[in-house]
Amino acid sequence: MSVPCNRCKVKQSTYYREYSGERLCQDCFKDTVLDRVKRTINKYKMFEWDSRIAIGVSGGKDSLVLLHLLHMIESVRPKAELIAVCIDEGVSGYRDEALRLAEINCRKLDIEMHTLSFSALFGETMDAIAVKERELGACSYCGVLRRRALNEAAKQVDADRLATGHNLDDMAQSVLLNILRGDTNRIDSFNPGGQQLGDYIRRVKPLCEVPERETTYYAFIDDMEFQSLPCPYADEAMRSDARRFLNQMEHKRPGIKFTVYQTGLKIRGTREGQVMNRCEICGAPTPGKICRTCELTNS
Amino acid sequence: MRIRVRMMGVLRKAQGNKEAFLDLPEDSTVGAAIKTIIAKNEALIGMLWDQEVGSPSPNALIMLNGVEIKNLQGIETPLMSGQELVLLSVVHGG
Repeated sequence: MSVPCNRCKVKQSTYYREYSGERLCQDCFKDTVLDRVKRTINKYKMFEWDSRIAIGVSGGKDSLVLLHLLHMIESVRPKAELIAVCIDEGVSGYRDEALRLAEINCRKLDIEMHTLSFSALFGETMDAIAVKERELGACSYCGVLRRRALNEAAKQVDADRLATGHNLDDMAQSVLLNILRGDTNRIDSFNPGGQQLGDYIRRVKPLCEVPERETTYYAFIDDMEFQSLPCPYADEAMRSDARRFLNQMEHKRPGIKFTVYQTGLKIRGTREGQVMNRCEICGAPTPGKICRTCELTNS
Repeated sequence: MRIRVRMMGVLRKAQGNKEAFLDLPEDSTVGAAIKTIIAKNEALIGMLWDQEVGSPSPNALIMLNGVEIKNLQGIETPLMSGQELVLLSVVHGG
């Protein structure tokens, strides 16, 4: 038998937040996640009252939770618009299931869905890229190309913001990975609120302070259907190592993921903003001469 | 006793079916149920159990009748016949 919810003191608690000591019922759990996302949006001034927001929906639980939360938050702003943008990387089986889940949820919320494929944009599917001889893991290609594809899809629907479902775990892993790789450029650009860079649409991460366990529990109690297939190319060993390390640290010292995330923000705050150039091939903003997308597609 | 076990997310694929019934000795705990499930299907070990820490994997969310087990007595939570154990993988890959 569980104890009463610490917040409403009426219903039985169903979730224990180790990092804060709260025991919450399902309704209060959902309310607190919603409140936190609203606070994050306000803190980083992510949206205007009339923003046209493209939501990157992969069909995974994070992007579906984001879709549902933004639908609730933006419904009180009649001039704000939401549109789901989905990228079909061309991973047989895996992405088919995800796109089906994205479609079901968009239909349920009456949100328009726009899909852009790797093959339409880059002339190749991820399946075709994966079988080629290449220097980097498949995830490295997919991540870079998907980022570009999301921006293109958001431009196609005339959005002025692009919201993605990156959660606290993703953010903490990125801080740690950038330190381990010595990638100071990326530490400089660590910014959940995003920034407008030329014709690159401002990317925002409203779930950046919600732990992955909580987006998962939210999706569970909201009765969302879950993706059952793992990505066949999920082989980015270094991120998996960072994930494992942070999870073990969190197990022993609850709250450590928040600390790592906050540290990323503090490091960024102590450094001068990164000077961005234009890619000599495609014109996209890049700290070097050639952007990562062109580096990969030309190799 | 008999409990219902429901797998969600990538665990469902690894298990091969969405739900199953599990027969356990009386006075069993959540931990005993998980160990029984793992013993029947080794593919689930890495997803459900962290052998270094000796507890359920942080990548697994485990609910007993909708209540996350950390809000109960963790793996020491006693089971009762007819309860539903939901096992859900936090990791999906975007």
